[in-house]
Amino acid sequence: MKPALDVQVGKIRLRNPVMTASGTAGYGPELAAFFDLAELGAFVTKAVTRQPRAGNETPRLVETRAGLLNAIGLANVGLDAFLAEKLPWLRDRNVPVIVNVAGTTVAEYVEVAAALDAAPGVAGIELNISCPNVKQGGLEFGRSEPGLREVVSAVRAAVRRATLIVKLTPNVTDIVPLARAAVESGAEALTLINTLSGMAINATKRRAILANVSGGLSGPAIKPVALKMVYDVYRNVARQARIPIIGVGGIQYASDAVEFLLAGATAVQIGTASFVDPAAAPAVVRGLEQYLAANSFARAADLTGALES
Amino acid sequence: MPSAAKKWLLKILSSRLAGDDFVWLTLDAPPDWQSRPGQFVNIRCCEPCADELSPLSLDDRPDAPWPRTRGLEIAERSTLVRRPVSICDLRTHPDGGREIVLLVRIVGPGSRILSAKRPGDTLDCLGPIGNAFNLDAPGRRAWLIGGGCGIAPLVGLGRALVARGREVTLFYGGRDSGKIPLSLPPGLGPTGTQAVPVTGIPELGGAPLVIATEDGSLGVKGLVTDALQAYAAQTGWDDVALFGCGPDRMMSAVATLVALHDLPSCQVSMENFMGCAIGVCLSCATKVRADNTAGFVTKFVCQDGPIFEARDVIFEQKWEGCKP
Ligand SMILES: Cc1cc2nc3c(=O)[nH]c(=O)nc-3n(C[C@H](O)[C@H](O)[C@H](O)COP(=O)(O)OP(=O)(O)OC[C@H]3O[C@@H](n4cnc5c(N)ncnc54)[C@H](O)[C@@H]3O)c2cc1C
Ligand SMILES: Cc1cc2nc3c(=O)[nH]c(=O)nc-3n(C[C@H](O)[C@H](O)[C@H](O)COP(=O)(O)O)c2cc1C
Ligand code: FES
Repeated sequence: MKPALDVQVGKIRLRNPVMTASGTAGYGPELAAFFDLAELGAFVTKAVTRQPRAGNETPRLVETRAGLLNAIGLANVGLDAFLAEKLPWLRDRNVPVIVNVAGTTVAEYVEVAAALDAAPGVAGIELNISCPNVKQGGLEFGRSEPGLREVVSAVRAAVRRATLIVKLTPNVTDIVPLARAAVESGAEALTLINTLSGMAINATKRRAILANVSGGLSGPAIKPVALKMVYDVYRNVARQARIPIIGVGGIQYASDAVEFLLAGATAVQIGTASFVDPAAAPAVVRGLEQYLAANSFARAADLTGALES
Repeated sequence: MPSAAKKWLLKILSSRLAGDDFVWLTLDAPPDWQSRPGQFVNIRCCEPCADELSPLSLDDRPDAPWPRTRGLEIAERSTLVRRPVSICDLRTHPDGGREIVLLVRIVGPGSRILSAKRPGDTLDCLGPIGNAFNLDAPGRRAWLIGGGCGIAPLVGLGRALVARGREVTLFYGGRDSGKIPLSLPPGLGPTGTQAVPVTGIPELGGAPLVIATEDGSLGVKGLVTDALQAYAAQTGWDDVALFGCGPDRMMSAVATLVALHDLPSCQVSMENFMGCAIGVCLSCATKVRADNTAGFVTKFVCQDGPIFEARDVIFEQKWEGCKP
């Protein structure tokens, strides 16, 4: 018998547990040239902010050992252009659309999230709280419990229809209390992890390689870190609260995705691997199905947290 | 704009080392392959590739024992993201077969892996990517200016322009004679301040080449722009269209000459670090002059380029790419 791949994330029924990761899949058309987006469990967009953003100076990206370091600077078309030009195309693709939302003030998050919640075709809102909070001297919202609670509960009050997902930053001493704070503030699902803070230096020029000096590390290099964070949050918060985790960080092969599910994730996102192969996400779906069949699992959901002890 | 690129597994027909650190690769072009001068491919550089050891997904090899990927992370030598390489030429043989020609400068892990590939191996390429040179730019004469691996896109461009009846001259700048990956006729030497076109170079299919070396060991002593000016001193700047590919520093110097002599068109091929080459990572940003308060708009080399009009580009000279 064919295993059932579908899983539930908040109010969204996903055809399978595999999504794109924000910022690595554009707004859809770019990847649709390589596969049918309906093969995905969900499509997650690039971050959307209130106003369009040009992004950082270049170099914005550099390859490091088994990883990519990026400081794109949240370059995006802005809310109005997203609603007018990007969403209409995306909502006709027969795939749940999750919009990643970023901001620098609580008011900006609320305004963008409310507008998206009211727009037909937005199934989920993923809050990217790894952004500097201008009112708090640039400390990222997601790095302090009060900052996180403030932004998540404010958005919670403004979002009625769409599933509210909070994407956590790994750049904290202990991610568990922040995951708990997000759930207590109304998150219906948690995505972890965003990129790890890092830098690269050119020794010949004695200069930082990225124009922004530091950036976010992604790719296979961060997978063990991401797995452990998923494991910890599952054991200490998500399992009891029955809140699904979306695992992301360095997934390249179907086996990587299986590892995330075993650690406690309900779904996964494919980021940097889409740069290596634009059709990496559907390949992971097929590999996952094969793993389930080979290991006599009837449902993908049965893998969540199924780590033998 | 969504890219029209596809993923291809292209068979290597030949591999030949040239100069101190270049390799020429020819690939078998599938019947439905179409590309134009100026476009490029984005190549996965791995040895052995995951698909051979264990697939990227597991579905390609239903009989593969599970799991196979842990060993892979250790066994595979690869760059993480692909490496962009210009399509040097697309040649048709008398028997109707077609080959894609690449010229790769060996500068790091990715290009080294490519240089170790043998005939019969396949390359996983995304392409063709990007816009192309406009072959209809005004000018009876076409001057093509390159440095380092910047000669690559100019080879096919030169042939296409010759076929359109243009009088084509190539200008090539390198540090020393070892940096020139072409089969030069024997007996060439320094020419000091004189621009002396060399003909009969097989890779260039007949177009004459003016060489500049920084150490003066071959051709004009100095930069490629010095060679260009020496040549123009003999022939004038009239009725010329320029085409260029090289480091920002070189292209920016060319753009200065374009402005000085008020040339109608100079198309340059730009580089930047490419995370994806399909328009999703937004790393390959380049500033293009615009009539707004910032004075520029951001364009993306992989989608809006790699070919831009030199007068439109704000050269930041931060990017060295493959050095000459
Ligand atoms: C549109 C375009 C066309 C190109 N065409 C050619 C060509 O025809 N022949 C040729 O020899 N080279 C070409 N290059 C340059 C070539 O991509 C780099 O030399 C190559 O990526 C080096 O990889 P590496 O692993 O060997 O070396 P690395 O040590 O990784 O890098 C050496 C240099 O290449 C740059 N580089 C590395 N990865 C990338 C990447 N993903 N995108 C862009 N730059 C990168 C590095 O920043 C560094 O400056 C082109 C680049 C671009 C953007
Ligand atoms: C180029 C790039 C841009 C990204 N942009 C965003 C973004 O806009 N919003 C966000 O929440 N995460 C963003 N991310 C983080 C990814 O969504 C993901 O969390 C991270 O890359 C780890 O997954 P990976 O290793 O599979 O890439 C970006 C990552 C990369 C590499
Ligand atoms: S290389 Fe990713 S957008 Fe151009």
